Amino acid sequence: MKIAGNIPVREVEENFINIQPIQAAGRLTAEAMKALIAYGDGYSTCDQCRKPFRLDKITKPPIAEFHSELSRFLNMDEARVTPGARRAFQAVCLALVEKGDTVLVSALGHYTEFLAVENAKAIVREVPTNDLNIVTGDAVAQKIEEVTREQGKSPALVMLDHFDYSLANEHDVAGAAKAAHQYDIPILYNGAYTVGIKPVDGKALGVDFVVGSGHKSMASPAPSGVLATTSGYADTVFSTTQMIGDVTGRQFGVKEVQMLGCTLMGGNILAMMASFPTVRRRVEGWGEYVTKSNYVVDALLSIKGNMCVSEYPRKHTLSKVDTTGSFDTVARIHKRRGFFFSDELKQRGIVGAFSGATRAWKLNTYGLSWDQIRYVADAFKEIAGKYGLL
Amino acid sequence: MERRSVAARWRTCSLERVSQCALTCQAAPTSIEFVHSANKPFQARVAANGSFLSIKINNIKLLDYWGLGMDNAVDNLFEALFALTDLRVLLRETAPLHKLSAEQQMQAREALARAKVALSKLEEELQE
Repeated sequence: MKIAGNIPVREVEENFINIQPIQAAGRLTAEAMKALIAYGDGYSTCDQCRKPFRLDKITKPPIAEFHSELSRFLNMDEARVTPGARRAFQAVCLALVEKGDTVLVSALGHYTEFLAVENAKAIVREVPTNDLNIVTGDAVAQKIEEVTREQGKSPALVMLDHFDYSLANEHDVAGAAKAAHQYDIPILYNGAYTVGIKPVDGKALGVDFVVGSGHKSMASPAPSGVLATTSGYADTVFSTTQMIGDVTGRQFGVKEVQMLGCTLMGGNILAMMASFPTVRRRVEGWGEYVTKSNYVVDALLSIKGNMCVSEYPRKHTLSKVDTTGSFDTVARIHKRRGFFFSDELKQRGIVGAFSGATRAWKLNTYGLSWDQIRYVADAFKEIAGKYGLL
Repeated sequence: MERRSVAARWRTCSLERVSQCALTCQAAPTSIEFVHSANKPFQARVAANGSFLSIKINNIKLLDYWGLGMDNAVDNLFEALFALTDLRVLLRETAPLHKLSAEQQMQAREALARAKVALSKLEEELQE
């Protein structure tokens, strides 16, 4: 079935259980789909945009109220929607970091943090993980000391993922915040894998910025995200333009420089808003999703030769596993090589595992029902049984 | 300038609304013709007791303007799309086998019924 020309209808989520690592928590709610149907037109948020002509001030539809709710949801003082978490990193870096400054990121930090720092003409330094692949507050303090010794000035910013993209291990954000603040360094909490699926309390964590990804964890279309901050940093990161046109004398007073004016002006923000009641509710059920995640990982670990590369027991629904000792032994002699595994999964209605990968690969079980969870776990064991791996 | 004749399917809604505004009408209007252009007051040419008069209706908001016209068709269109969207999500929640529990079967029946009713109304409205 085609939408237009050679653009196919995407039926992945309707026909399969999708365990793709980055897609799970961005699947839309019914309400978000309805919002896209009704608000898909380009500037659909602008029907009743009145003075001062800024997205976060629009009351119909209730975008202003949504911004307030977002900051309350994260227990921060001010929030803005952004085109993805990456644009939030960029906004903070451009507002706080100067050319040649150093920014600390985790050794498991996302590549977009690197790009945001580079965009601000600053330099990344990585905080190493410990033997358990965890970034601790002590490691952050040590790195700050090291950089300060080397450069004669402390880093301008610390960015830390609560759960990283690679292993989804939980890192010590509160400890890192405490360490950073001891050196008067602001800290950004990267909640791309938490905001929208588990409770996040920015002030309890002691961070200055909370960044979330709408399309990764808030059941929203891409690109969408959130940047929340404290009243202390709001004026800096959400500073308004001072520029005056030399010929026309034009000024655009309330437009926020780092946001480049309005951010999400169409279906994306309305879909984000439409999903928000569900998102707010579902974070309270995070514990059960983690239990389900462990159920599937345990099934994988029941297959001889398998290992969990991520910290275990799992604290997240995203996990990295190593099946070199099991499925990869089949791949070595199978005519389809590594693709045998994704073929077998697909035959059972499961997609999202990286095609051809039978060594280290990731899966995400977020959002699946217990029936689906049991189905996935059984499928792994069934495939193992078929090839004599149990 | 956009000119609309009031079709039969609009009558109930539009007559009620215009009756509220057409203070000069001594009798219930029997036919109405609307004229509207951007940034100008909404105008209705109202026939009542065999004579015509034109009135300006300032207290009908733009949304009411659409309310006078095709909103039933549009509402039913969205209702059908939304009901099918609920069904779509149900298919996602039960993938890949789509074996529905008793509760899910009930939800599916409700969604389908909503879609059918909305489509049926839409069909009627577009044929009038």
